Amino acid sequence: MIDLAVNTALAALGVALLLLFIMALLSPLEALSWWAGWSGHAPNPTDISKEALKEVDEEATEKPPAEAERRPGIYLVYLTAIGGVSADEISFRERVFLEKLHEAAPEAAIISDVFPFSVTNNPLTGERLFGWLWRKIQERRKTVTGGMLAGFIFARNLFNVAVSADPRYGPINNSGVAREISKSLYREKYPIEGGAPVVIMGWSGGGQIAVGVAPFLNLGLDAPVYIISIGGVLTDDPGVAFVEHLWHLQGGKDKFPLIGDVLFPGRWPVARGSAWNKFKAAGKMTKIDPGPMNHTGKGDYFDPKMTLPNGQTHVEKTVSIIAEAVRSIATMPHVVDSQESVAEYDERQKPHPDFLNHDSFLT
Amino acid sequence: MVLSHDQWMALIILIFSTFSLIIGNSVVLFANRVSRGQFIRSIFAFTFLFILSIFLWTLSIQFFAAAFFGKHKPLADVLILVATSFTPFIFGFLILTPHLGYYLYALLRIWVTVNLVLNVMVAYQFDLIQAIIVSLLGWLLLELISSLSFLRLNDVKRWFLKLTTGKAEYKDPNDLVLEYVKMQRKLTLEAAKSAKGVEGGQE
Repeated sequence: MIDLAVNTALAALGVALLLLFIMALLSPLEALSWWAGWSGHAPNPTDISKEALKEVDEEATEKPPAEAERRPGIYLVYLTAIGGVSADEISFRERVFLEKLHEAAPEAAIISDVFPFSVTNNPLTGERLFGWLWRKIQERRKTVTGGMLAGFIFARNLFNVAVSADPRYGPINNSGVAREISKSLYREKYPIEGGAPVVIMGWSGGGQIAVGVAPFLNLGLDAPVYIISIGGVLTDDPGVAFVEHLWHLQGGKDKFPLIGDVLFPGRWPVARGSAWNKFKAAGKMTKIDPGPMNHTGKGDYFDPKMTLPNGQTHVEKTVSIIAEAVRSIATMPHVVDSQESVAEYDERQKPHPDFLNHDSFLT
Repeated sequence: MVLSHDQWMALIILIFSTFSLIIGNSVVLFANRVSRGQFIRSIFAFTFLFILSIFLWTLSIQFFAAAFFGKHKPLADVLILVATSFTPFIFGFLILTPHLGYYLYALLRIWVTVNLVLNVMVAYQFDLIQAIIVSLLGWLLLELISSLSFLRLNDVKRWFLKLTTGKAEYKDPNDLVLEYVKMQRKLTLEAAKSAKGVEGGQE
């Protein structure tokens, strides 16, 4: 009887490992087939201009002049962690965090409608080959068996993080996610001329995606890009060279970010010439210990109940750090004053004629 | 020429290994936006080109072994030892695995090189240095020949790929993505400029 149970458990483990292996092997295909146009959603460079032009049209026709002329001073983009199935179905704690952040930084536009683990912003539960399976897993996630199956969601998104960090697939994958972020930014009235700072906040695996998309947001929008990594698992992605500054929050009880330190040779101190180490040497990274916070679950960065010794809840502390970072960005000379008119902004904004002559980190 | 059972087996192993290796390196095809048909044709075309280069390598090993050390072996026997050296590339498709595939590829190349040197050592009864010289000189020769511009081998390769796959050139994926982002930015700025111009004209 015990033999049977052991054999069954081993067989189940074997099948699970085989499935994980197949998932890993196939994980780059979503981005690759999208790029090649095999999935029916081939990237079209005019999509972005259409989205951007909606803003021009709306300003000209629909919105009242006073409203149309006001733009957010800064744009915050939130990318969820690898437990997410879509941008719409983020956890209650994340929602509390975003609401509190909105209160703390009212001058900023907060964007949270991009699912960072899909090149087309297609949720796992959306229209895709195995969408039905992810929907079932998501439905049963709260149960014991569903909880175990949810491991496949983590694995699927973790492999997507690996795709983003892989120099062979990363540029394709990250340009797709950046494209979706750009569309969202334009929907939030991001200036077509660029220049307004974009702050990408990535939690856990979202931290790598944030670094991965940075070059494409910088080059594609002409935007200064900042990153706030919330327990982010950061790899040695050379995209960091396009980041103005990176704040890395790592709780005292959070060991997950160490994965990036160990697995990616470009993060090792001996790799002095790596983009990552050059970035650090330039003083562009600030590591912040927000207190004894976990990576995820009870006591994590967004926990609205757990308190620090000073009585502040975890989420309040996280929000206060981010709001401070946002304020420090707002004092920089290129930032748009939220009360400034578009005309004034245009006048003040320096053109970027050398955009097309950017040295490429990709080549 | 009738192939023996061993020779057939070696050839089949070589074809499968090469095919798997090319699949593992197929990201360049996706990046160049080939159609499904072009993808399949490209895989076969690259497999053919790779096997051709291995045949040339085989010839060079036979030549250098004879020229430098006076050891003669029939071409078919040398082909078997070279083909079986490439067996680790059977796992070539695993190169597709994100992050780990990168290191796996390096590992497979080292494994194949070590295999080849050892096979040459045993088959020709060479010492290690002799085996390294004979094995790697062929590779160096191939590199040298392919870099001689007057031979216009790149033109031949382009002609062959155009003939078989419909694409004469495969660009680096990173360059393609960058071109795309630049194009996207350019179109957005132009569209915005023209839209504002139209509005200005209407006013």
